[in-house]
Amino acid sequence: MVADMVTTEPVIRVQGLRKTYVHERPFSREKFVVRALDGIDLVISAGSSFALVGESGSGKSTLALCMARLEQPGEGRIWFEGQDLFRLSGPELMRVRRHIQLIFQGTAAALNPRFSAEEIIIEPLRIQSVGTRTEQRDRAVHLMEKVGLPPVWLSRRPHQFSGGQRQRLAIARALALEPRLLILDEAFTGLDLSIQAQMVALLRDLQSRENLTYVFISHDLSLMAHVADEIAIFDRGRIVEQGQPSRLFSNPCQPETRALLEAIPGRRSVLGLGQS
Amino acid sequence: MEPLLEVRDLHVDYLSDGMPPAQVLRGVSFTVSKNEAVGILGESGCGKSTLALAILRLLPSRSRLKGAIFYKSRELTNLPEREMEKLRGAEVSLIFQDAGSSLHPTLRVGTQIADVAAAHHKDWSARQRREGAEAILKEVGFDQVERIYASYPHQLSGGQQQRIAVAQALISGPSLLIADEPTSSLDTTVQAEILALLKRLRREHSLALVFVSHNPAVLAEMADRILVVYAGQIVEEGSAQQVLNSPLHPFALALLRCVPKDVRHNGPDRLLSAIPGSPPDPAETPAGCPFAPRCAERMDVCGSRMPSETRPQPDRKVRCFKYGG
Repeated sequence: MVADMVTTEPVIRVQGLRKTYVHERPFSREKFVVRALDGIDLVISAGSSFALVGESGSGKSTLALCMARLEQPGEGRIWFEGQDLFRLSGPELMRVRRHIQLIFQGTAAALNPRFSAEEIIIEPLRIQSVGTRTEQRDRAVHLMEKVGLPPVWLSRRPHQFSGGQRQRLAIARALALEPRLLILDEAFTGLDLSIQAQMVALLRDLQSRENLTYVFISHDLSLMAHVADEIAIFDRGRIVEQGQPSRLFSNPCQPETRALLEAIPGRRSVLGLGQS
Repeated sequence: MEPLLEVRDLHVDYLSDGMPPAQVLRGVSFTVSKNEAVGILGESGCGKSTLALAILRLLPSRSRLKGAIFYKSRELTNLPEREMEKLRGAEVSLIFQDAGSSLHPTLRVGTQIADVAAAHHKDWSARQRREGAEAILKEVGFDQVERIYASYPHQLSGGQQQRIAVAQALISGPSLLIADEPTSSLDTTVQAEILALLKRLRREHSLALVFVSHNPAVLAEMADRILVVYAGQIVEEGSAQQVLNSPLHPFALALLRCVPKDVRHNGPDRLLSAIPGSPPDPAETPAGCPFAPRCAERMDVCGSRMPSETRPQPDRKVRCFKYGG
């Protein structure tokens, strides 16, 4: 890959983003409006880890989908490395798409059950016409090693992997095109704590080697405090509070932040998870 | 005092054609006293859900169970199926991780709660069943009882569905509730609500609880005593305080280091540290301690034979050569 020069441009800049969904109740034809995003502004700098934390339905996944240009906002703009995402089209858009990759919660649903691990990892390379068949295969072997899976498993299908291994496979696929931004939407939810800790270690290791920027989306504030440099607390389509993890824990300013802190299990228990 | 539940040397194998049986539980023994909350802690695939199902004899047909299970001094493993049916829900109830998939999608949730009452109280009139269901809906924290009663599962959130499952589990007044990861697929804030609800109901209904979880922080909220399970065996047992504050078994210690700590906490265990590798395949019988390949404190003896259970302190049990074994 061509080495990119160091830029001061943030990876993501979001300005005045709004998105509403209009739903119709079945049978009654009654319409109601959901404000998924209600005026979002934020900046995510290169090489950092940013977390969007909030309850289900707070709009954080909608924002992730807008950043990946999988969802069109009603108002507002998003710049990826200085390029206005929603003005791009054709080959320019195709080029930018390589650099933004997504990882979801349900790995079982996100991986084609009929594909082998090799086909899964190679698919993005095929779509973007990167490399020859042999180069693609070599890359698949390399990526398997990078995420800690034995390359001999390339012929296995997703059901032959455990949940944690499938999540590694999803990461290998996301890294195939050497992205600069990785969006992880509840990627830890449903994993055992021991697997979760392994994923955190893997992502940390990859970030230092690949100069990746992470956007995490999660409802788990205690975990996000360990993986993110900066956390934005989401509530009903708005960022109600934003700051470094230690600041949010020691001096939460908004009731939504306090509610999320209160909900951390074991805080007041014998484990002493909430001690200051 | 007689324990409410006693499990004695329980073995469960899953059978499949042309494959060696998977030994999912390998000799599990423990007791649960009246009103006591026992936490079962372990990773996916260690056998903790199998244990929950085995107590109620809900294992799949291609499985083999050995050992004894006593509930109020009655042996359950050889009880006729009709007697088991009377016991399930009325004496021992079960709730699962995904309440949405254990509810019928096209029946009103109120009816589904009333149906549980009907199964155990044949003499109740339709009105009594409805009133019973409405009363329990109120107890599990719903205000608009009539609206909820008439709702279908898809109209409720995940947390509300789990409340319905709790209502079903408690309407016939059991003495023991088995909860298998009941909050693992919920948001943190909703999880906190369900945990608070279970704590309150446990007190008000004098319930004993078997709470299965992979998360020590959740058990810190819920359990009086904790059993740590690895590869189908109990590897450590003690009070919640003992196990969570000063674990003996290297696996219990490693699992506690996977819990995200408060970021302001400055101890040496502040950072997450992962357990390398993965749990052993239940189809293979390890020669030595099943945790040995992943253990940071492995010794020569660990690969040669299985450690036996020792009591390094009164009321504490552990299965590790560090403590004699």
